[in-house]
Amino acid sequence: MVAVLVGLYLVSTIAHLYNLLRERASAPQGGKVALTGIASLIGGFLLHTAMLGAAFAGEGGRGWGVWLSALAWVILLLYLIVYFRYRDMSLGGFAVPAGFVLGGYASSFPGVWGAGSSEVQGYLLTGHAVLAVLSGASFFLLFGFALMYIVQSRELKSRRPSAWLHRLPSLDVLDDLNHKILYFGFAFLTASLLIGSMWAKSKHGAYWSLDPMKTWPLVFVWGAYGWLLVCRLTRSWKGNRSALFSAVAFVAVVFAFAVHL
Amino acid sequence: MAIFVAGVSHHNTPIEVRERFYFPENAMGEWLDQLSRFRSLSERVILSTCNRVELYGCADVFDEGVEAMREFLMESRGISRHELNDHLYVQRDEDAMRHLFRVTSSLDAMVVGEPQILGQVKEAYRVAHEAGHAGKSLAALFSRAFRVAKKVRDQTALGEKAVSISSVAADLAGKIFGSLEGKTVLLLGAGEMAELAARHLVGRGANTVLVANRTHSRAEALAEEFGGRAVDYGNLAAEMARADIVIASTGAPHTVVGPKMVAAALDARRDAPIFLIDIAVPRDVDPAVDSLENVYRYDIDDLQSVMASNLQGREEEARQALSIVEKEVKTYLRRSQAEDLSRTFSAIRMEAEASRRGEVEKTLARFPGLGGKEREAVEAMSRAIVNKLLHQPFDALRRMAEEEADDESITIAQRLFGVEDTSAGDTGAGDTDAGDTDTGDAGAGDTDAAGPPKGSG
Repeated sequence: MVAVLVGLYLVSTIAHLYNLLRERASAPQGGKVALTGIASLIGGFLLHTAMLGAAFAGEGGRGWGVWLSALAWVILLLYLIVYFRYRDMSLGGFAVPAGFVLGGYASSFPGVWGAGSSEVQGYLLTGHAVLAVLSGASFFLLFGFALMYIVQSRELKSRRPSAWLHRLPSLDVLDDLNHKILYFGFAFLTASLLIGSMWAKSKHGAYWSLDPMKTWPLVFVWGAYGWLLVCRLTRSWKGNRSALFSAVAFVAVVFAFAVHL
Repeated sequence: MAIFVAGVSHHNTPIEVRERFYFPENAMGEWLDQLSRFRSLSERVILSTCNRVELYGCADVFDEGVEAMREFLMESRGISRHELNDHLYVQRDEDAMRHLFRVTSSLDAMVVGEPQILGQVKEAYRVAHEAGHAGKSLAALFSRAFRVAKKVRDQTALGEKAVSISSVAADLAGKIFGSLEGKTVLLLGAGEMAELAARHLVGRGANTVLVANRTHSRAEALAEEFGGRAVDYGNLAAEMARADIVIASTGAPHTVVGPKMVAAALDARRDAPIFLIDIAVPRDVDPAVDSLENVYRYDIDDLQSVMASNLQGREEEARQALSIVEKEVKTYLRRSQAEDLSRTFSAIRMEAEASRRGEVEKTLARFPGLGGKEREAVEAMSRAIVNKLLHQPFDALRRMAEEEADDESITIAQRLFGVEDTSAGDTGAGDTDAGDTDTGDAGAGDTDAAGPPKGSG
């Protein structure tokens, strides 16, 4: 099963990278490459869904591998939504490979799909982890789209655009995605932080009882994305600046998640 | 049966001659009816665009068919025989097929890869088909041509990149704004080129056009053409904030749009991107605006360099497309040859079976006393002889047909067995007498090179 899953994701990854990197300008959508890439992705995704469902429904603990796998699942889910909205395969040029690498890596953990050690227990902590996974996936996509925006903007600014001009989506689409995904990522992160502190209260009797080194980076990340959101809404933080900020903020996300775990 | 095309195109006929060949499309049915009065043509399609006028036809006797077309052109278009000799090109069978495939795939176009031609060919075929002018042969040929065009479009990027200044500008606008739906275009200066660029942008969805010009009346006239609005040339700064795309083409000797003006516009637009297309020489837009975020400025040199690199890519794609067409021509020929072969085989078999039965019946009639068993034995023996006799020539014929590109061996077999010309009209290029189709691209007017008259019998 795991081999089939990883195989399907690998096929989709190759199709997406081929679509992105081939010499031809703007790929005709709906060609064989697109069909292969999307069909194998959907197939893998359905299998992934079933396997995750079984892992979460089953008795016993769930190791880190399941959560990592869930992160890959959410990234791919978000990409599929974006794909069917914009019908543009180039948007998956980084999301699909990331899903493949994360999913494949997660599968190498012992006891991923069955019982294992249970690091995450209780409803509060499970909710906290689910939301954290959702926000992490959102910020990852945000980061990817921001990089694409920066490259595309550079191409256009250069006035001598290379083939990347044709490969990448339009600035408008990328900025629109930046805006929408920011909402979701921020909402998930906020909820995750709230539930996390409730869990801390129930376990240790105080909302902020963990090691400050573990929590403050997260609060900083939350503040940063919150600020970006406010700037987008109230001030004119469109396009380039927003993209740059999102790209840099993701580095903080990786750091904060790493120390938190 | 021969399929052929006779026509004039941008390749060797100048516009002042070509326009006299032109058939207005609204009366196409009548032209086809008129052409159908020439009995030597069994099928006909008229393709008439601004770059080419071509008559596709099918005739039992190639020369008579071509002559019918010539007479039709002389009658209906008032063109002299002398002019026809100068301009008309005629191609038949394999060459006609290759020609149509190229035309439909936009490989024979003035601007290679331009997308309109496929629609025009489809329309020409549809009109002829609905009025009953296109029969089996042309139907097979044209539907194949449409499939080839689709293949070329799917497998190459031919026609995907813009190759004119205005379409390059529109492409870039698309990469900035996505859909141009709801976008506003401001024209600074009302030159022809600016108008053309604006037309491209409107064609892609931009729906508001503002025009600012030193001569206000000219601005008003142009604005009216686009259903837009003329704005005050002295109040550019305010209008700028409204515009997503600015096309500058004034004749001013100094720059008209500077960083201050653009920065103010950006502020008012809450940083929504601005695309400045400067097609004026000397330039209208100060290059210093490049330092502003979310501002994209292209001058005429930039646009031309994008265009040049697109054109270069197009050449490579065209080469690839040509090889697709060539492969399709070969496939089509091979298939129709196979059909010819099996048709010839079954005709020979029928002939043989008829003779066999006749002889067997004659023999059996002389021996009325024979029992069922004996009769069966005679039948079986006669069948075995026929099969044995036919086996070797059929085998050889199949091998010869595989080795040769043309149909000569099939023709010979038909003559040997006396089954010539059996319903040859069923396939497209499967001309039973086309032993010399390989004449290369027949030049203008040299019908003689396309093959000798069909002398069957």
